[in-house]
Amino acid sequence: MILAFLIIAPLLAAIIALVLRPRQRTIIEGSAFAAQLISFLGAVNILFAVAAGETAVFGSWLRVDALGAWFLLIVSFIGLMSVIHSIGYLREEVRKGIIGFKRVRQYYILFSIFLFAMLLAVSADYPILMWIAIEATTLSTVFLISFYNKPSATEAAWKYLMLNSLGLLLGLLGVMLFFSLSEGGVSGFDWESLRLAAGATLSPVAAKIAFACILVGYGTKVGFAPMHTWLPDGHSKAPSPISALMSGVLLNVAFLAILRFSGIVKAAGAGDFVIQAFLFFGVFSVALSAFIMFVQKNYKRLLAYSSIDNMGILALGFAFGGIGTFAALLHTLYHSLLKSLLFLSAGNIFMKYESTKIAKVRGLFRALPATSIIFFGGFIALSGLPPFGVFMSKMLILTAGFQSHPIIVSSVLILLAVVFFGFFRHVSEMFFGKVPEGVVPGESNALTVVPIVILAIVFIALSISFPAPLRMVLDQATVLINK
Amino acid sequence: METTFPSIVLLLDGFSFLLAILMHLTRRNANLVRLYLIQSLFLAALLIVLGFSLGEKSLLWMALLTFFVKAVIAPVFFFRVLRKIPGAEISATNYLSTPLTLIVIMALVVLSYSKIIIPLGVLSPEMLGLFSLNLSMVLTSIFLLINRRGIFTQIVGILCLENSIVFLSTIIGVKQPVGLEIGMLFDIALWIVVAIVFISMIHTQFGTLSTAPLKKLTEE
Repeated sequence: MILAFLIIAPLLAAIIALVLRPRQRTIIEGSAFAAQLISFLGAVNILFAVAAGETAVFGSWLRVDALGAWFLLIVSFIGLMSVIHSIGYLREEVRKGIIGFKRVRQYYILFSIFLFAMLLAVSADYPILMWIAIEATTLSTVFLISFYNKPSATEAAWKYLMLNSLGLLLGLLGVMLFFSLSEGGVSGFDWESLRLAAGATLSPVAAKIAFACILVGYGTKVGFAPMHTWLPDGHSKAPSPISALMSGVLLNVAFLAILRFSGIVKAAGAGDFVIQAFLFFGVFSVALSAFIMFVQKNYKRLLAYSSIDNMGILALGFAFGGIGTFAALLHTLYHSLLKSLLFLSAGNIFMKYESTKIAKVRGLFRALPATSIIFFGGFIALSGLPPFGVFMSKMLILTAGFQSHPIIVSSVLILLAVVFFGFFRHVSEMFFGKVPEGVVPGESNALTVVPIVILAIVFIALSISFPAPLRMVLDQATVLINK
Repeated sequence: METTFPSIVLLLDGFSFLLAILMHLTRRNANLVRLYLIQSLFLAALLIVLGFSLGEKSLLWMALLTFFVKAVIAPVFFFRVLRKIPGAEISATNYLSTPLTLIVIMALVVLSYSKIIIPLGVLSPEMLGLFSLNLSMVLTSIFLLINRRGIFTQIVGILCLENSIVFLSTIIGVKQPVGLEIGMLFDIALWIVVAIVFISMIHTQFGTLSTAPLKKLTEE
């Protein structure tokens, strides 16, 4: 019951926003916040239950195992932080006259539907339900990308709509192939039935063909190079809290779909193909993003390319297997926390400087003291420098692959150094220097600072110590993927 | 169903594939919508034929919903947009010339009937033939998306691809709970609404329905 309630809560918030008048902004904001809080508390409750060996189930359609609980927690927590930031961010935009009350209401409706769709996707026990939910994330976010109604934003949204729709249709084709190619058919519609049928009767070659469709399809949503082209445009044009959700959470949700299907392919005896595919997309994504980040001129695009880089690292972790899988799952959490922190900070920078161009942002430390320190710290942590958690997750991933793939690991290490220098070059330029004329130093409002402070505290706390229930769920999820 | 296929199924499937090819050749957006409408009618007819022959009521419900969403709602919206927007009647050009387009389609058909699909031999020989035909339709639809510069063609291309996948899954007998089938169709209906809103937005901001002027992102 808790599972159903935590998923429906954001949908109820969307309905409340829909029926209220735009002027009733406080109630709309309050209901969106309450819905996210309920979802987060529900996700924590489920995490404890799963850690104790239970499985959260609602009817035959929704089922949350350790893997689902892990992603459910990430989605709901980042959702909660994003809604707090949204309140401050949109109030500031209304104050400046950039948007009106109608747009605010539209934002919260789409925001809540977006979160509902992601929560549904990670809890779905049916592959088709997961597909429907992920498609719903595209439909709810496309108008958030074009939110400012500028030609460039419309173009980015159109590109996002077309490429993701094409990708997801290929994903649907993959799902249909999995269901149709098992001799004797699949007894049910859920993941476990599909896995059992694949293990018993699906030929490895058929599994490879179906998985290729899944990988290209859902891989487009994940942002794997070379299907990534929508991602930097989409993530840089959306309002910052949405960029935080898209980069920090949505990519993980699509990755979860690939992970679920990879288990089915392994059961069919084609595990090697999964490894090769993950290696290919992993190396390609890291290499491409590393060089583009170096010459990037827009800080939101810089963060978007960093997401592609990190999705590549995740793919490598899952390809290496064993401790690599554990580290990759751990990295999903750290990356989500840091990337949402960085995008929300980028939102504060944008509000102050009114530009996303790196060249126009100077003297960040003087203009936005709190945001700039968190932004700089987030960049240091995401680069994988010790003593932060990302250092541990990246090191474990690379260690896992060093014996079996030394050339790939060595190349990735060099590429990560390129990422670090590219990142450092841009962030240090923004951090120091003279504050441009017309920029008044000081944070815009407390609500835009609180979530990034909370994210920073949670990240540091989880870098130092990992609570037992979280660790138990992580271990169980690792076993689920490795089996 | 697996041993003797009614020729009507093959006929509906074959004509739908021909319609997908015709979409590459037409230059008028109104014709593109008409071709999509007919293809959707064929899909609804296929669902009805299979529904009666297999005695499955769920397929009949799906036929009704498919007819309503794809053959009524979508065309009505599309024709309304075409009437409203001046100059929207003519579709943007292809990247490849017509002969080259046809050669590529031929290559895609050959690919679909080639050894590459032999691993899918779990299907019966009749099924394998229909599978190849539907795979050709899927690839031809994807090519429509790639080969045209028009916003409108891209939208119809996506919808044609979705039709092709539904054809394929129906023919090879993939069944899902009715609730999920309705959910998928609901997603498509929403997608159509979103796409139509975008047609207006793009026309207002760029003054055209061609993708050629969409260069704002690269200019920034």
